[in-house]
Amino acid sequence: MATLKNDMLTFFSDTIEKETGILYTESNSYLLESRLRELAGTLGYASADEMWLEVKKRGLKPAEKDMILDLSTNNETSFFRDPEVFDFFKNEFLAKRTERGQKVKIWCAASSTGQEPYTLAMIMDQPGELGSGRTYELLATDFSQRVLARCREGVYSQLEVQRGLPAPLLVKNFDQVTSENSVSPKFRIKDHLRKHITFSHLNLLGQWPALGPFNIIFCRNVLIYQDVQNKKQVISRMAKLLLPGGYLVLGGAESLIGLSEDFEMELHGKACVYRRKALRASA
Amino acid sequence: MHIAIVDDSKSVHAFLKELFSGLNVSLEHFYDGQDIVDHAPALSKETEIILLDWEMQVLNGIDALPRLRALRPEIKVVMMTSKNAMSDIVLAMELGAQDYVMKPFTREILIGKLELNTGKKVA
Repeated sequence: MATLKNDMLTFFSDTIEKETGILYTESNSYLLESRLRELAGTLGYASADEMWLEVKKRGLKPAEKDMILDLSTNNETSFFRDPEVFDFFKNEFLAKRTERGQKVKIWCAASSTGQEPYTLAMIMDQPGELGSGRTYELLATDFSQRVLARCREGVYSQLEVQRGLPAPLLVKNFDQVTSENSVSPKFRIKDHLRKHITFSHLNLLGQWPALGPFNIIFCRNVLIYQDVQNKKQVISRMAKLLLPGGYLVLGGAESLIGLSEDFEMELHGKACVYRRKALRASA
Repeated sequence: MHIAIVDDSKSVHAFLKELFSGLNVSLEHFYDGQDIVDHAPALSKETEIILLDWEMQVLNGIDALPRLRALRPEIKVVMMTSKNAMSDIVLAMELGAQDYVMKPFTREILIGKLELNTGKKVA
């Protein structure tokens, strides 16, 4: 039984590494095991072992491969991730902190596979809402060229479009790009949303091209992986690119405490955001 | 949270029972569109969501949907089906579905959909 399990883990970890570069080793194989159990349940097998015996016999079907790659890489990403942040964006930032005639300039500094910038574009596009009739520019940057290419492409699997995205918004903002009733359909974000977005490769710790200024910067769940010095440096550079009164939005587990004096913390519902202080007159 | 599950596959009921075990969710089980339509007037007031399969023997979910909306407009219907064409989703929305879950789905997707549509935490 142990060999069966080891064979299964080896097969799937090799497949995942080959396709995504993500490495599952002995130390985190429990995570892969739990994801395989989830995949087995989702596909209607009684157990991961039962699924593995079947896969060994006839190989991995494309739909199954998509699902395991998806489960192994994208569990942390969804549309409208942390909905309170987007409630703040819509109900506070757009409604009260920007002028209706003003072009809204947004930077997603770690756009990943695109769920965040496209969520913002969907909000800006909502008719009858505050986004309606507003002009905006959205810069989406990421450190990874591979991830940025996916972001630019705007194509998502069946699982991805179900994470955080209500069906009415799926229908409104996506086209199906594989044949209807495909076992593994893909959905592409519509061009009218993509046209507002500029995609660009950028290493937050490296040289930045001429950027900004911005009304709001989203930099969620990135700095948490950096040391204090790098955090301070990135935040200071972002502060300079924000218009006075502009906002910096970090991840739920991140804060600016001890890192910057350029911002004031604000709480809007459950969303904690940072407002750029007004610039002092130069001496 | 009280949920009515309508699906002709017993394994789907078993999967969902397992998925919701230990969570603050109670389930009521129906095995056909006609079954849920017949029982709709008697569904408890606590029922917030009907998870409705599309393809069933006696009465399809898509045909049951407008009847359920007429009988119990306060209960949200979320389609839960392997029909995954955009035209299917559009039709279900037009007939009054609140949301749509494409099979196969994961635990976190289904829980996310329930939380989104009820405004309540499930897990």
